[in-house]
Amino acid sequence: MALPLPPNVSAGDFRTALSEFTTAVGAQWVFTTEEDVLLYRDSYSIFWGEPEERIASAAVAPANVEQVQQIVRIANKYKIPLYSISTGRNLTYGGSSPTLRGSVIVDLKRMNKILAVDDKRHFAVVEPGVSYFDLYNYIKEHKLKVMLDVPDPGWGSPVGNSLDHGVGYTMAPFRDHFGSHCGMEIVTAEGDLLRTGSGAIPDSDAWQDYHYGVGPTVDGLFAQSNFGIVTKMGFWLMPLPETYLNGTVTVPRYQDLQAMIDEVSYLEDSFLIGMPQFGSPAGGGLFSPSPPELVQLMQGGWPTAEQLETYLKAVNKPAWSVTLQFYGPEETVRANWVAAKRRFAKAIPGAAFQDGIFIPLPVAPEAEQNLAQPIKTALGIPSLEIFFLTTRNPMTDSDPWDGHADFFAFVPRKAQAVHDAARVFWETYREFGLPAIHNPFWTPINYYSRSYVVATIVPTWRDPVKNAHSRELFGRLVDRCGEHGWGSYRTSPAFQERVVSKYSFNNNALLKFQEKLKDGIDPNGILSPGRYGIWPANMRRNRA
Amino acid sequence: MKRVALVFSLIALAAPVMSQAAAPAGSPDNGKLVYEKWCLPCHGSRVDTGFPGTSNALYPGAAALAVKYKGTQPPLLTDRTNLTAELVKTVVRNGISAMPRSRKTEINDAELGDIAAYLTQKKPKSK
Repeated sequence: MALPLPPNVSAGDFRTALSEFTTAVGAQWVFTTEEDVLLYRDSYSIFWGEPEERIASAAVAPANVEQVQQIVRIANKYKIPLYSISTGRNLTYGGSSPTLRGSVIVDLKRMNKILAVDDKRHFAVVEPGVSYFDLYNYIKEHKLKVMLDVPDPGWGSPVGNSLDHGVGYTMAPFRDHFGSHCGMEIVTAEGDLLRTGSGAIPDSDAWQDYHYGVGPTVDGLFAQSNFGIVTKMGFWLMPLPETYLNGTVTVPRYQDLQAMIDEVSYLEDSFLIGMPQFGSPAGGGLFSPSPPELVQLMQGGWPTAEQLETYLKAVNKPAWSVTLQFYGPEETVRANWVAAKRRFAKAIPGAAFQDGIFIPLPVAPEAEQNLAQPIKTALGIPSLEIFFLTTRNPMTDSDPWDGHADFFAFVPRKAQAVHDAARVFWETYREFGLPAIHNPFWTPINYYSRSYVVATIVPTWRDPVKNAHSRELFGRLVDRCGEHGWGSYRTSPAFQERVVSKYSFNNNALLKFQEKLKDGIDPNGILSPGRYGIWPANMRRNRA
Repeated sequence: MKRVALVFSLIALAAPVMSQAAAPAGSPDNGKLVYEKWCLPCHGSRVDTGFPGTSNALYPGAAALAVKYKGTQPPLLTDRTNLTAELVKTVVRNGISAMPRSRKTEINDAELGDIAAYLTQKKPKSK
């Protein structure tokens, strides 16, 4: 596979730019051969092997901020599009491949210093190449009394994950990884260096204590976007709780979900629980096959509420469950569980309760890696166990997936919205002739505390025919959810413009404002052009 | 069309195999460290120790190999006796199925050789 040139750049200028990159970072860290550059392909690309696949032209790996600044200045001189990555894989969201084919990857993995972890003021400061595994091991080795909030694959970067609005599994303020950041350092499109919040005060010791500074807060510009390259970032951390406790509530009826949501939201918004984990004993698990009796019922179409109540009586299983998680001193976690049970018992006739597990923290070293997955992430222990969802398994053994594209629809915390989204997924999969695993007991995921994700997964392949089918399905999901007002939070370059197109209030006023910013901040359009639909002025004709 | 894609994939895999063939043998000791950092979280397993919340399970990569080989090969790579250095390097570098590729800023060529040396070193005979 021949590597592409950056668009609108001559071969001569590109060679000169590569030579200057080499002077800046050393020959070992400029990758130009097919063997090396193709390692930046998106392993789960939905355009694998097709002309539209987003292949880079080269990659350059700086070791420090000064080298990032040099790279940006060289790119400006020759109008070379750059695409910055941190560490980890970004699988299902485009991997390390650029939005614009022919971009040069700026691989920040070598910038891997943990600059501070403070277990009295409860923060960390890291460079982009640090992974959650790295930070976790550092905290453990130094016996620091803080708990991380980790996303699913632990090889990701706190910087990269938070910049892409990644999420975790503990208490609400920490699950929102971008929302829990405090201060960042950015190389601008012109190669200048700025710091946000208190970091803008020279030598301030309060960079990770006060995040706003004065005037407009610009941190949000650097999330999911193309206005700068973030080279340092601070994060607020949770103090290591004394203990962890969980317990599960079940409710009998299909119609009980709204009352369950109301109680969970009360507890969540009062900071009495960590991430609630919804389930459905009667409906099977998320991404698992539906029970045979439910499959049979659904052969007649999407069941009515009355049919579902009858089904529940026949299978004699609770409609819904939620596992509540408590963090803190033993006295308070046990008291909060008692209070939660009292509230559910009063609100929902037939609510039942099962005590879960109680773990003093920190976790005993011999137990740590043997904890089951939901407990690992609940305790901020990074792992790769989430891949059980899509690696070869008995369900896919006859035709194993090569990858997948996740689709997360953000819906209000309302039972009807959850049901409606599940039905949209079910109808869309049926429209495409695919086995529909979604059913009326599909449950929400509460990553962001004030909204629900209703999630589905679309397989990707090394087969262009099957990928074309998956692309059509994914696009249809985006459109149908858009019709209901449900947006998505993150997606691969293949779908970024389509997802952005749903945020179209007042004739795309938001995107137009972002484009004005792009023109002023990055006039040569060299930073991640096209990411989330923001193209430089000279490329806007590319808009879908 | 599927066959075309397969041929394309094999061609893509061939180049690194050839260029790595002449590399010197790696260090199994360092390979163990690199393996434990990058591979074990997906190719290991956990056990029920009796501690609350622990359970027996293969991690996803190991579970996938168990499904693939259906008992004809052990699911844990560290138990395999038929791996070759070339195969290990090719798969780690280029990925396979749902396993992604590994960039050289993460696992460099020397470390790749070390992983291969670790996984292909002679195993003690099981008792």
